[in-house]
Amino acid sequence: MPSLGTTFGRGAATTAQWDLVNSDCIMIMGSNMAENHPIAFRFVMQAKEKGATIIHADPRFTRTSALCDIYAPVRAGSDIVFLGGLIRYILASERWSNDRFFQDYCLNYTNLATIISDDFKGSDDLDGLFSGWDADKLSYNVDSWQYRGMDIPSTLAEAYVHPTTDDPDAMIARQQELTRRPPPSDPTLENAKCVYQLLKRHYEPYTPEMVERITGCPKETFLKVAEALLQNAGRERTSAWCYAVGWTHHTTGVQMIRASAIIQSLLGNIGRPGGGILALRGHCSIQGSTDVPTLYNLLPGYLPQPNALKPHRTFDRYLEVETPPTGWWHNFPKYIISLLRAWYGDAAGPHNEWCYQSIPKIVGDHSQEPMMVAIADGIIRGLLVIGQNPIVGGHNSRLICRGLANLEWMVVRETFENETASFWYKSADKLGEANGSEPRHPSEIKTEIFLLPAALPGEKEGTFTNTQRLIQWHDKVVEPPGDCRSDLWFMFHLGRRLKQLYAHSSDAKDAALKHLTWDYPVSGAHDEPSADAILREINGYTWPERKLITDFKELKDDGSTACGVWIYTGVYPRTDFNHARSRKPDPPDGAGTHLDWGFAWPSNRRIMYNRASADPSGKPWSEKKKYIWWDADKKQWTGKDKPDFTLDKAPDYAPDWSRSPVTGTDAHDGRSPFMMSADGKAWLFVPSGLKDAPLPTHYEPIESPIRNPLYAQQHNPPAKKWDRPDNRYHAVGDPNYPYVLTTYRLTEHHSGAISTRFLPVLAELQPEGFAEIPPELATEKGIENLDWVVLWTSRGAIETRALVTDRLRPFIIDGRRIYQIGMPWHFGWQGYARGDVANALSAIVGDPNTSIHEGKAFTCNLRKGRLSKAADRRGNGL
Amino acid sequence: MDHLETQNAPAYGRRTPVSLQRPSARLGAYSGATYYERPALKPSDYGQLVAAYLFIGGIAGAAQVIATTADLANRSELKDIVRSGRYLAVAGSIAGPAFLIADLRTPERWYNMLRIFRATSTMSIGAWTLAAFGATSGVALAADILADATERPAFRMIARIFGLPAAATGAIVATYTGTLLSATSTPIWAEAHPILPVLFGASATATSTAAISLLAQRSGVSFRQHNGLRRLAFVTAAAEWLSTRMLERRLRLRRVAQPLLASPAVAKTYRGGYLVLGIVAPAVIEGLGWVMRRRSRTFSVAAAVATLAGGYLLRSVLLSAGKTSALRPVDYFTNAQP
Amino acid sequence: MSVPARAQEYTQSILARAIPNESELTCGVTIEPGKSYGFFTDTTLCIGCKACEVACKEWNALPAEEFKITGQSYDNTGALSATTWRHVSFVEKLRDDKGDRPSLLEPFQSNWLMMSDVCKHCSPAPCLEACPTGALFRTEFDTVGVQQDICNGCTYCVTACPFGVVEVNETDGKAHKCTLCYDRLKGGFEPACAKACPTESIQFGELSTLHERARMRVETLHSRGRTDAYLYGAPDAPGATGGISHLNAFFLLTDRPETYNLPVAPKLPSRRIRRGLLAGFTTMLALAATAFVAFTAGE
Repeated sequence: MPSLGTTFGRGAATTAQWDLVNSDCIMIMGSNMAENHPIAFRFVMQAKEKGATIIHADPRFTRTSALCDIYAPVRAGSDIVFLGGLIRYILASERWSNDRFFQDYCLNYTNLATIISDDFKGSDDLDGLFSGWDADKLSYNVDSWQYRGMDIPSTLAEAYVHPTTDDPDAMIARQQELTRRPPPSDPTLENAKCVYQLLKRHYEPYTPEMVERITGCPKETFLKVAEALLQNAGRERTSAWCYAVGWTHHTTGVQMIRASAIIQSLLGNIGRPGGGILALRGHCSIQGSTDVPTLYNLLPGYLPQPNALKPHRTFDRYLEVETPPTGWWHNFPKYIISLLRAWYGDAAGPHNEWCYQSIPKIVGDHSQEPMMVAIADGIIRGLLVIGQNPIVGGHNSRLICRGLANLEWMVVRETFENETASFWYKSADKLGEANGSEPRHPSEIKTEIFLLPAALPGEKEGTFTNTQRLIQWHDKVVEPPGDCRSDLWFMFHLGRRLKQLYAHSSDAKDAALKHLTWDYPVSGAHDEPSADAILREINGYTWPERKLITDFKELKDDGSTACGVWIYTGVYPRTDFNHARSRKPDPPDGAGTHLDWGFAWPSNRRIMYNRASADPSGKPWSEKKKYIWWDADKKQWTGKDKPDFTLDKAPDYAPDWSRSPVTGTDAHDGRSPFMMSADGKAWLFVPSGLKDAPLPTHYEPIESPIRNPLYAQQHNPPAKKWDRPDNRYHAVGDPNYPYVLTTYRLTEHHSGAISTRFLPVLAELQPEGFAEIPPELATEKGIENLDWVVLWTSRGAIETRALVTDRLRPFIIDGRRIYQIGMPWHFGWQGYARGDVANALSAIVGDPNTSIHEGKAFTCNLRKGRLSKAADRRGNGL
Repeated sequence: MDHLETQNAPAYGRRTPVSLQRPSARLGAYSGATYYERPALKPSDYGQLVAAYLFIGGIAGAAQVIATTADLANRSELKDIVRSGRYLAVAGSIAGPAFLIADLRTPERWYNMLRIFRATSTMSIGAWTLAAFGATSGVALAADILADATERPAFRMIARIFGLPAAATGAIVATYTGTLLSATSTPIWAEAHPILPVLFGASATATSTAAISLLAQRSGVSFRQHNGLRRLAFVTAAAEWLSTRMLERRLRLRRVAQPLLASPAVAKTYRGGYLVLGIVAPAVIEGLGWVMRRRSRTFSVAAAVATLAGGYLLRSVLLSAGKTSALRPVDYFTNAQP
Repeated sequence: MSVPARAQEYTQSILARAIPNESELTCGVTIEPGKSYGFFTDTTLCIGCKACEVACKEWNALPAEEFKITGQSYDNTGALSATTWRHVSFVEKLRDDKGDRPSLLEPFQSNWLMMSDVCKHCSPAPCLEACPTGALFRTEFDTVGVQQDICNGCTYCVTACPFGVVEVNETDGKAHKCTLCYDRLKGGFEPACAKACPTESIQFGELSTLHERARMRVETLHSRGRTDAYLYGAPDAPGATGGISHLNAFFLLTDRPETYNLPVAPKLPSRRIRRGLLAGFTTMLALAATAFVAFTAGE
């Protein structure tokens, strides 16, 4: 989550679900929380019981909307206009300007007063672009986005943020400025280049009228939302925001989240009870999959993956460019060396760069979307599919299908035969082939497919790390049936056999495998590796004694500690205490932070940046919102949670710049709750770490029925596009594709839905695919409820049932009536609950920061009827 | 809970409070929305087996009543009626339950009907009454036969003594089925309360009169017996006709008549098969015979067969109308108003 | 609801055996024979997640019925049946009186009504009253259960039920319906549906406590502008009429009962028995007298 990462320092939800009970107002946007996070929604209902205002902004009226006080209809993909409108409203409001609280909070805890480089030019000047745009490389040089006179390292796992600058040493030198003086700022907020002034100017066009014009949300409704948020902020009141993949699934997804982070910072809602941003994760342990990452560009604990295109050739150089001089990340060398020690054991040492060269270096974007393109182009020849169903959950299913048919081999680990494993004999009449070519007969598909039965959660032990960064252990309830094995078993034994294969190799490149520590104890009839041992390694221990450590502050950069994921340290502090297994809730009169229920990284802190719950002098902002405060007698921070701050750093601490260089968090004063960032502040303006904009800016989705009314720039400039014959994008306002299509999930099914479509009692609840169509459009098209309809894009065509419902409404956008169609993407041809694959319609396209697709907003066409034959799915002759 | 009541009184619908007290509810169909017009009740699954039981049970029960009445008249020339009636009662108390058991979804557990007695269950009351009816009818018939065979007056006395409870239970057997249907939630049956047992009683008497008449015809019936049965047939036909007028009026008033009187197939069967064939036709035929002062065996047989057919169709259409009725939420909601 | 104190006693994720009186932990209810238990289903808190339907089917090992979309909002199971003992109904009411789709909504559930229906465990219960075999019985928890090993499938309970709940399964020929998790209550567990409900729309408890809580809830809702909230099936409320004194599973609704497929004023069918039998008997008596006359009158 680069959005929360760049703004606050850590890419994770700042709070926990149960803290929503303390909210006075809960804003749900980019999320259908009641449907997709029903358990978390219980806390929304509890807040409602206590009188909170619940707001839902969404293209569709969902089960979440039904429980809300305000429902703001917003056209899919126009969120930033709505959010920018809120920022403008807040900055212009009397309350924000006059209530001391907001100044105290923002001036001390955010970079509101910080002065940005004189070279910076905003989108208001450049009609939708920012200074530094390179039209040839389709990317930004962020030199002009820096603070005046100093370079700011990103809080993400890439302190080295200037790929367009050829001189890393110059960058390092400019970053060193941070160790000599505080960043330039103007507490009067009058400097034209201070963040406050930039914000004001940037969001000036985002008027309530403009909000209505672009989002379709009535101005009155928008103002109600704005006022509710404004009134529920301050010393006595806090508001929380909940978002999910309704925001991330856009080419502007990161900036949408960024906009909410700005709002929450301006309103003083971060680090406080009942405040924060709850990034509701797409499914269980997704947070864990970025912490202990399945991401191609991160090492565990958000450490940067070595990159062949960066100055990462040697370990020393890697450390030099990736270690920021100030902020917590200054400790980076301790974490990477402890990680290498954990991975390569005694083989790693200062003599061989701690085996640094054994880590493969990336050469570009290796995420799922480009991976599918590379498969289609025959670049990738083998594929392991674990916990995924790309044909249903990926995008442009036909392209994916064609690619899978080009593979030499594919391993699918699943509990049932999913679409991906069965494409070779079932996809032809479901998806057709690429444009113009006939479907391939199964006998012509050369891919060798291995379907390996996988165990379910109850059949294995391990941990989940969910939305609230909470690591919870689960035990095995029953043995997996038959040949089903856990993913851990598969990975462990795959690694073990690979190591055996290369055990006697003397080739240098095989050292990576030979040196890998792979000594987890096994047990049982099938040699199941111990998840417990892995959690201990993740927690970290001394080397070579393997004595568990209790906090990441104990990690060293001399090889005397080994740690799998530094941020998880403390999850297994003693051999007899697995904190993730602890299940002790607070009693009814307790603090309500439930510190003994599971373990939340980092260091069991439940609300991150909670230093901000106290005023600059260290006192709680109010009795009602008391959380963490400075105990002057004990000279340390204390309260209901683990303080997310240097425990003994007094509120009045100031760096002694005369003794420069001042490094690490010593460079932060006692009023800097965001210790991961170089300056200790929340970044309203992001100087480094984002590829598309320092301030969230509205761009239309790649496929949109309208021109961007705000700027000449139509869509996110550096958005990742793969415009090719098998992945064509629709032109702006293309009359052949007049309707907006948004895809989503239902309570009754889980994502690619293999785990639900095969279960009769779940399948019967949503037994068939459907498209939700507003009655106005249905009438125009002569479509009645339950009629068959055909939807098509340049990527594909599908047929499904019409569910005509008032819950979808027509929007008047820029004077035109625009229809939205909604379609759940769970369905496929396998299981009891079936339907055509919605993602056969979507395109491969990506957010510039995350490469996440735009399944939430693209265009399509619609007609009543059915596809006459399978061939219809291929052509556009509809 | 007084407080609760005041809390609840004003509140239905979105800002359109409708008072609980709607005295006019009975006069108009419920006009609000229902849940996608889905049934609010589960329909009964009673089919031809149950219709057959209702038919047979009615004949058996009423036959015992007629037999005992004839017996009490204490005239030797009514002997055939008494004997035929008692035969029918015993035959019916054996055949009827057989149909009932066959209709059970777990027939091998039929005996659980006699596991308990439940005064709130018409089915339970019926099961026990049927058992008592069968037993007493059996004794009465056996004693009657023995009396003939042995010519001992004691047997005649036993027959007469057992005939009384047999007739009393017979009266219940002949009519409780009407209550059985009415004591359900199926709108058309429930709203027919308490006309249904009256109609069933009249129809049971008519059909058993017809059945006795047929049996008696076989052995060559005396003129007196014939006349008595014919008079009884006239009276029951009149009673039946009257009951149907009351029933139809009530069903229309309660807005639940559609499944019986307006759904094409059922209404046709009800009118043509029951009203015309089952009531009017026999009366006309017998009337003709009476006017012509003839003892035509053909006339009597025709009238009796028509009565029996009509009686069966009545039960059949009522069951079928009940099934439809339960599937019509508006019929139910119209009457489920305070 | 706050965390029950006893939750402190179980501090690890795995347990060697079931927790004694687990319902104290999950919903603060001590289950004891001889007391009355029931459900209070508060529709204003329902998010339509159908967890109750699934938890019920899982615990009671009930099969799925049909894989067919109904087009009736998100309700694809349609009704309670022999194999569906919890059923969530969905009613879309998106438009206001003028036909507009509103943005400012009333607090708690509105505009898209969702309600988890269940057997009402009526007191007295028409199905139980109608049962001739005693298969339907009142449990020691004052709920209504079916003993399939006694039921002979006469189907009379089906027609007696004023809520269309009981059904005889054609596969096994026995009546089936919600047992209010009789087996779980015996083991000290909260019923599966209530335990699974994430928003406490389904609350299990002792009836008097639930009545009190429900009354307070209605008051709260009224004070917060939801004057359309009312109880269904509580004593003296709609649903508890015609001889039915109360429903052990009662509801808080915000629209007419018919909207949720419920009758305003159900009646106890057994109330018609006495008069019905009497009417029948009198008829027969009258006809017997007529017959006597017919047989004895002169030529």
